Amino acid sequence: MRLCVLAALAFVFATPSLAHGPTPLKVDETVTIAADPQKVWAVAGSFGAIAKWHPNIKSVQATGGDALGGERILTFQNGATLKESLDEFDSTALKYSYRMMDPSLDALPVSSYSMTLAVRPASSGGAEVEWYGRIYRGDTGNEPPDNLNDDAARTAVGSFLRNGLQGLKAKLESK
Amino acid sequence: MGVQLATIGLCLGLALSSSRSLAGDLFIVCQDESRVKRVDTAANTITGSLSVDVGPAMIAASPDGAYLYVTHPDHGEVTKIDAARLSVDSVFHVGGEPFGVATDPDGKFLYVSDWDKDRVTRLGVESGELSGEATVGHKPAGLVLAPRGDHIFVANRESHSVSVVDTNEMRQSAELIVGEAPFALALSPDSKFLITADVRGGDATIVDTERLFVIARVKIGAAPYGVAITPDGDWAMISDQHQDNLTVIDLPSGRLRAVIKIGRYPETIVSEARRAYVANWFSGDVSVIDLANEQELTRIRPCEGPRGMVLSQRKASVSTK
Repeated sequence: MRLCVLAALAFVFATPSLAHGPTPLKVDETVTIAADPQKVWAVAGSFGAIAKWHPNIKSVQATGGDALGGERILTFQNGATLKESLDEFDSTALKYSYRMMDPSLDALPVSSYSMTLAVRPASSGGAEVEWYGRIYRGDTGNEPPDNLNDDAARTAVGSFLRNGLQGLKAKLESK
Repeated sequence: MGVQLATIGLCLGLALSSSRSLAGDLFIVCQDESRVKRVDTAANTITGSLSVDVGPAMIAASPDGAYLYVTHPDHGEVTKIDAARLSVDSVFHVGGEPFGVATDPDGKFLYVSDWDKDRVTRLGVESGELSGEATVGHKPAGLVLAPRGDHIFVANRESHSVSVVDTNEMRQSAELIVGEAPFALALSPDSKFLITADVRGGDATIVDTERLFVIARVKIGAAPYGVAITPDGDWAMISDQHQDNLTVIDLPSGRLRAVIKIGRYPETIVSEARRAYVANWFSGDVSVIDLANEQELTRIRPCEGPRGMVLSQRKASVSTK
């Protein structure tokens, strides 16, 4: 019967999965920088150039540039690597969105995330940079250990974003 | 011979969740606040709030609108709510990670997808006792019941497929590959077409349910997450989490009608005849969409982290059948 053939086909698709549990977490960090938004974007808006301003990132290997599907492999200071892929890049709105490709718990204790970095004029002059996203804890089971639970994910990613924004601010304001 | 599905008139269960009603309530699950909020859709105002156990996700209404059922995947629970009183009736400890939920047209059973155990369970509505289970694909998420209640369709996120479950035998009768990582799905009112939102594939897959055949795969964007079909079955709407928009397409052709900018990280969509509602998880609001003009009319700000939603008539207007 045809249905059985369809059922068999289902298993041909097996790809490395980005499985995550059903409960997402929010992260949202903002910094104000005393610089023109376009100048901030010139530094922060290059997807492959994050190592130039993020203190936690030792090096980056980027392919595909600032186009959809562009990828970067981040090497953290502890040597762990994490691969990310661009979903949206809008140089008019000064905003890009990307997602994690494969979990790397030594880099960040999360199983999956998507992030957006956006630059806009600050109300008090200069620029405001917001870095926000949706993350899932490292262990998506119902009894995660302390180092892979919701708090661990939120704390680690929150601090990663804050460190990055402070690094960006320091780089732009020192000029 | 394929899976025979009802093409006869709507049963009560589907009619309630989709038809326009003057006494319509929208129930919103607020995951971050562990609450369920009630919105009067005539005025778009919040008329009630109920505290539930931690981490609520998805919601379904009983066919008569008297009860609501909310899943808590992180705690293996389903909360049964008295809709008229907006009070907790009971909490079912079902285990696993219950996520998607649907009620049967007779109002006797709940069907729940279990993200942890790759199964769909059938639970009695009185005490939540397990009355059957069917093994489906990997990481089942969204789930819909055919109007007659004889089949369930469930999106298997990590098998890239939709399982068809025969509810009489509680077993998977077929599995069809759709796009990559389908999370949500919707069934047309005549149950002829099914559409999935494929999170990683970036597309929506339109399926002919009688022949179990993929009719079209439509490119949507970076991360299609929620999907709904209008009560007349003419349009489908898909939310895209990474681009903060709602795409409207014709059914079954998949032709693009409109792209509407909405809030951040939109997901669940519900639709009645003239309005659709989209839960914007990150921005903590719900976009109200005017379907005639295909634009966002206003936003309701119910809470932080809105996820599942259901439209339901009030009990009083339903009991006069």
